[in-house]
Amino acid sequence: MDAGFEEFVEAETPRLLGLAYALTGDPHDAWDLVQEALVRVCMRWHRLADQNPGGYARTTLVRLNVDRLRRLRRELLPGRVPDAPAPVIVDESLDPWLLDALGTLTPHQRAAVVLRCVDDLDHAGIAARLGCSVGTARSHLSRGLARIRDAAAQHEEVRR
Amino acid sequence: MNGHQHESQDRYGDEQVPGEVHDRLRAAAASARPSGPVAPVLRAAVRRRRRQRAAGAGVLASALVAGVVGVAVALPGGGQGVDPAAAPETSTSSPTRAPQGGAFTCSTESRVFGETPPIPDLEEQQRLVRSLSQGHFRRISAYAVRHAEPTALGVVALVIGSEQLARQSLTRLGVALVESYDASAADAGVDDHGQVQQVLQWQLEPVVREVQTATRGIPGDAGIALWQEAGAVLLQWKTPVPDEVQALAGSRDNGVEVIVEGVTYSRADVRDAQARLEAWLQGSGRRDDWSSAYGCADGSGLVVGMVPGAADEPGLAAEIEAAVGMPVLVVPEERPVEMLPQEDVER
Repeated sequence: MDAGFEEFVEAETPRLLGLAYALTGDPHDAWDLVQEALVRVCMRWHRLADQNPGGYARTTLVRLNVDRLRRLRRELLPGRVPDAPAPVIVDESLDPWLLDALGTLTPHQRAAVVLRCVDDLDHAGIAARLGCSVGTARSHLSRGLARIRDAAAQHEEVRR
Repeated sequence: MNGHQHESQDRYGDEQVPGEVHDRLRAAAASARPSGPVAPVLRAAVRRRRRQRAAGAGVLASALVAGVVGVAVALPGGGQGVDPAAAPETSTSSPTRAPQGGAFTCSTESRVFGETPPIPDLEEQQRLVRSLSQGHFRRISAYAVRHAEPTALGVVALVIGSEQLARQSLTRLGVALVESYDASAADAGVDDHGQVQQVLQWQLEPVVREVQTATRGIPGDAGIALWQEAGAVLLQWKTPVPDEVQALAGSRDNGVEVIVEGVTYSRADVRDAQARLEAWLQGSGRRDDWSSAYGCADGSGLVVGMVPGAADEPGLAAEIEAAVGMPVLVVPEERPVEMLPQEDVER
């Protein structure tokens, strides 16, 4: 592997893992996404090195996550050992109620909400990551946030 | 209400993110880190991917050789040719075996990832693209063409300024699709060509939904794929393809082609074979040699990845075939790598 790519991996992996964990809520799934995104960056490194490999990796990761449920190739892999340690350490895990709420969103809505919160992206930035028009990104974000607000309000009532 | 919530509200109007959600998502993301060194794991994963690709290229080369042999045999007969105009919409793939009962081969990657069909009116499209990048079309007062290129669905132009006016005037010139240029896409790692691919995807997606709706509940689904380079949606279906599925083949109003391809095995067949493979791996004690299993891209069998060394064992493919009940291609593949916890690495 190119030394420049190794430096990129060391520098970028924690941020990518953070985004992937927020998108999936599962450390194993987060690692799978990050690994696949980084492998794809590596395969194109000679072209990406002078451009924006970080942006490419994040976009790839977001789109891979959206596509997870509609992948063309259903690959069967050796099963994970249930007690195996998570390949990712997350000190501040997402609360179960928030995980449940995020789980009710469509993959696009969830990505839009996460990209707004974690990457602080505006509509154009979310659209570029998702590969949709700005109007569609606005719609995903608006609907996603509406559901999250409902869930947050219900959670608040339960806590009282 | 905390500071983040105020910030979100000020900047984004009514798209208010509940402060707790915002803070918890950011805190969770910021606290995630790998539990071990990443580079060695990535090195192994890249090696694995390169092996997979090499295996795919090798299989493709064999298939091409077989194809050339087939043509050489058919031509002298003179009566075997296929009239392109009479060619059916459906193509059919079937298990491929080398002469004298040799090993089964199949493609491991869908042709939508590797094949770029020629664009019939490419020269005409190139002329149009040149004219857009020169003279007064490059910049007039209401809009400017930022990027244009030929595609299977015609010239796609990405414009800045008034998309509506650009669409009105450019479509009159023969441009097929006009969309706004997204200046922020470069920050997301998407170049101009990537934006054009995205525009093509927008044309394909409604057709995919239409096809999925029309085929819901009909057994035999073997996969559906977007094929931007061909301006097509590739639908694979187990043969015999039902009439109602076959009827979906053909062009749509936006020029998108639906290609219905008959294949030997459905996704359900592949899932059953995967389940039988798991049982065989368990029973034969070969689980540690196994790395992956997935359907051939042409729906003709099962690809089974075995660790290098084990994959070369004579008779292994035949043994697995007997267990799973369909043709099997064994390819050398390292096992997927999981990261070790930090304490194991330090030990």
